[in-house]
Amino acid sequence: MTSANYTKDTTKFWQKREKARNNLDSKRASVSYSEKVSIAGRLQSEAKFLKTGRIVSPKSSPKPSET
Amino acid sequence: MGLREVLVTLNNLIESGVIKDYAIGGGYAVMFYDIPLSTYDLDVLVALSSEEDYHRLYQHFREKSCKIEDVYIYIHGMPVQFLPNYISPLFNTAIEEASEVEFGGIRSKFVNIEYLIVLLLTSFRLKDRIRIQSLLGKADGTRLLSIIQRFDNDQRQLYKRYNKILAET
Repeated sequence: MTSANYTKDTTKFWQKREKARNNLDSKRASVSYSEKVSIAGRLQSEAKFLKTGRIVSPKSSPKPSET
Repeated sequence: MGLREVLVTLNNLIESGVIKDYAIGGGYAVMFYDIPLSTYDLDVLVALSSEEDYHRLYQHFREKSCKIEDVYIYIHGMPVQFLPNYISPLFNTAIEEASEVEFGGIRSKFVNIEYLIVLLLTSFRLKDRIRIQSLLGKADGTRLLSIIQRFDNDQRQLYKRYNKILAET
């Protein structure tokens, strides 16, 4: 993609995303206690899954824990 | 259902030609680099050929009856935000130079740590500044500075923000 194809004014793009993120945060904050516990459990399991990742491409920085 | 299934879906998007490439950024990339964090949504930088392809991407999930709320597409219950490469040359290069990562047979790509820091320098909210401070010790300083110089604006905003963080650390 050439530089001419890049969107020059990104303000609107980020404003829309910031608003969406705030909406998501408020929605998450207003869920029931049991749902919060369930989200926390899911996040723990995602963190565990991420720990199993192994960087296989040599051109990028190695994962610090693997150095 | 979780991140594993979402990564498989993202790989399928490449195979079916809906996107050209992708790299995981945001909170999940920060978590990948061993920073304990609580994040909820998944930020995916996507390489597309045109802005029309971005709309086609949403259409693809609409046809699969995925819930779409604001900018988020719920894939396997996870709110996923797609950030197209045409929005910034930084996004484009962050995808091109992302690290390939394997999770027990599933290949994926994650934005590398130096690009992740520069992306956080562009958003620079309070939580981004905290994340940068945690990531700095794990990054290659020379590489980071070279990326900052490459993508900085005339006001050297990224470099100033970087120095501000260093002064706070």
